[in-house]
Amino acid sequence: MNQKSLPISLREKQRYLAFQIISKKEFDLGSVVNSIWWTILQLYGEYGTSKFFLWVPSNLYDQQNKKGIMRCGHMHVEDVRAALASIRQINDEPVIIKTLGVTGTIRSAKRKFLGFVDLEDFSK
Amino acid sequence: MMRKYLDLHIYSDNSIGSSSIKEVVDFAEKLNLSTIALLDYKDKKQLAELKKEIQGIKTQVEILVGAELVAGSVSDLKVKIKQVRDVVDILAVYGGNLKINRAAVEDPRVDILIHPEFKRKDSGMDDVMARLAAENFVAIELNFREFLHSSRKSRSFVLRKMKQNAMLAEKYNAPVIVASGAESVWDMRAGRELSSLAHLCGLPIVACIDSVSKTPERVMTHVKKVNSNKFVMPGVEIK
Repeated sequence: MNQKSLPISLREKQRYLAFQIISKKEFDLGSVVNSIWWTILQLYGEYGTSKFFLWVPSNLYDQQNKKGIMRCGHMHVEDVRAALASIRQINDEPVIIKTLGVTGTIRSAKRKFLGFVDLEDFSK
Repeated sequence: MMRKYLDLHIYSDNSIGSSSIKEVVDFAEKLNLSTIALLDYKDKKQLAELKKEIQGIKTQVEILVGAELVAGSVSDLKVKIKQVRDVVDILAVYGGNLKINRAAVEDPRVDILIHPEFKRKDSGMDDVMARLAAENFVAIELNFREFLHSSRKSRSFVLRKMKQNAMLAEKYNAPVIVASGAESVWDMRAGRELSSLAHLCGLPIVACIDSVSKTPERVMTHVKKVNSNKFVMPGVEIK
């Protein structure tokens, strides 16, 4: 039996951060997610990270364009941005992670930053 | 209107950096920076060559040439400031020595005091120096490279010292800027990412964004004012 979801008023408010990786090579989702988690844990520790409500959805990472979306709590956007900025390497390749913007829903993040325009695309 | 982001501390391969000016400018375009300052000045002959090279690059990014003064003593610093002030766009003083830090914030001809806490156990600044920096409009720099290239214990020390400097600067209204201090294009960051360092140092969000946009712009305006013939000292100008 699945747990009943909380009423909207009691849920943690979330933000979706669209990011782009500037690098010479492409990276698979696993490397990117590992690198993000490792950096955030190193910078804020396990206790600090627990407040961030982090999630990197696997279906919202565009490997070719090196763009992705990640979720965090609405009070911790700047903390996560700082952690992304402190990533220097992924798989020993130098990288710069640039945040493209912040949205309140996955839908608008897809539309604004990943170039989803058709209604069919939103079902992906 | 789009907000402009400025990075006033970058090195190219003309000084200690490893990337060419063309590469730096390409990355500045990718990172949506409107203005960059290359602290590559060595002497007047090299400055002319630098300016010639910059003129040959077609770009939307405004490129300034600055000097980073590394001085052994206060008198040495004064001599160097006098020699360089009129020929460069940005004059930054390499901090770390307490006497040099103090002399830099006392002098209105200085634009930026770079990492005052560098290789120190304390933060390199006290309340008097923060007040002087505000009076003379000398920007206190939070150096992103120091944060980026440190880890664990050393990073925690760096952040603690930067936090104290940011707190003092905020209390006395001294200008604070965040700059990348990039020696390679891979050390460069976009404006909002640079500003997140100010957030880690405890500044409010408006001050964080200003530290990479409005404050560096005010520094540039101040430079033009100081370099004009009408400027005598802070508060005194010839009409």
